[in-house]
Amino acid sequence: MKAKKEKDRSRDEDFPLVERCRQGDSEAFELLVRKYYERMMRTAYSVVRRQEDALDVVQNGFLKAYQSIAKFSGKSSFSTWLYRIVINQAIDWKRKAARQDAASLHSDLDGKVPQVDQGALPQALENPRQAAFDSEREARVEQCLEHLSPEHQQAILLREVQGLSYQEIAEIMGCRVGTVMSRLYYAREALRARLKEWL
Amino acid sequence: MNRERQDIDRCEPFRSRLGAWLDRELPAGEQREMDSHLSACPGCRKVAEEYRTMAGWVRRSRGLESVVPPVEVFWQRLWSSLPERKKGWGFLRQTLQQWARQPRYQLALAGAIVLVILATVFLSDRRAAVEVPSGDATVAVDYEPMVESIETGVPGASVMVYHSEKENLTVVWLFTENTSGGSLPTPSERHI
Repeated sequence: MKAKKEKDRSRDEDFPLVERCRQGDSEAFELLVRKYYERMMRTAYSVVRRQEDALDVVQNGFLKAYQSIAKFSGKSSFSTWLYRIVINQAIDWKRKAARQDAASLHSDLDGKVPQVDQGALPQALENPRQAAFDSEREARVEQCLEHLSPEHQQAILLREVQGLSYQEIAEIMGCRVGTVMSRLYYAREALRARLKEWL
Repeated sequence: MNRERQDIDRCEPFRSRLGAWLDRELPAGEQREMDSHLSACPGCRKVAEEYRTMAGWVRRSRGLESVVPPVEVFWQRLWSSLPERKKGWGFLRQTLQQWARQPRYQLALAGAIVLVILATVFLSDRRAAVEVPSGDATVAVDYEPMVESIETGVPGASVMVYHSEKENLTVVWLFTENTSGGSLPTPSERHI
């Protein structure tokens, strides 16, 4: 049992840095932050949908990881553990925001104009009809995603936005690969049914 | 209608694996089986294409479109938010651990202690000669030579100082593990 644990830890490429972090090495922690910052930002953003909120979520996530590093058992890889922390922080953030301002959240869902891609602005001016069409479709996609259950939504975002493997998704969500496969199948079929007129 | 029903039934075992096929997550044998089915089934090909299109929409809807702030900026923000005690203790512990591991830091620490002792030696009142009355004159009275021994807290490293005002002599011994207890004479044993 102990030998298996040692073997699992040594397969994690972040293991040496994690060990240094446990001993209070702030330089090792900085290296881990630099390595995972952008990935965690994308993960958080895919849930909270605002860059400033995503920054706060990721900061809280790294803080929590730094404070709890001694409790990290090494059963999963460090990246999986960090993903779970950040996703949980993002979900908590979103719940808190929903509780604080339920009314504005509803209006966001009903008529939301997605955050503008700065690069798209000139195209919108050139082809306003296409831009309006795209905007309406994006709002519809957003609504459909929100209608999914948290597990199905999480699975589809980790796969399509983060590009994680089924094994990685299974570790983050704490389920088997077969479960990930069926969740993705269900999520895709649900989206396909709701977006039929756009496909 | 019957034909349609037959098509759906025939494709059912493949439809549930279409997403995994697109994601290249099927075992090699199943991947080839799907390749073969899709080459002959326009219905399943259409569904695969729809999955692909939706994936692009989801990425556009939920992907990070705007520029991510540079990691240097983020790191400064994160570092400044760390609890002071946690940061300070970590830095101090790291520094002490580095010193314990490297002989040069042991010697540096020992040297610093020597300087402190010497400063104490020269500034201390009991090292100054005191003039005391003796009859009609005054006599300078020297104290006994001083010998101090200090444990540095670093394994195997200790310092011993001998000082005599009368002889104008100070001798410092540095003991480390490497020297096996031998003494390291300072550049000048008489004038420090």
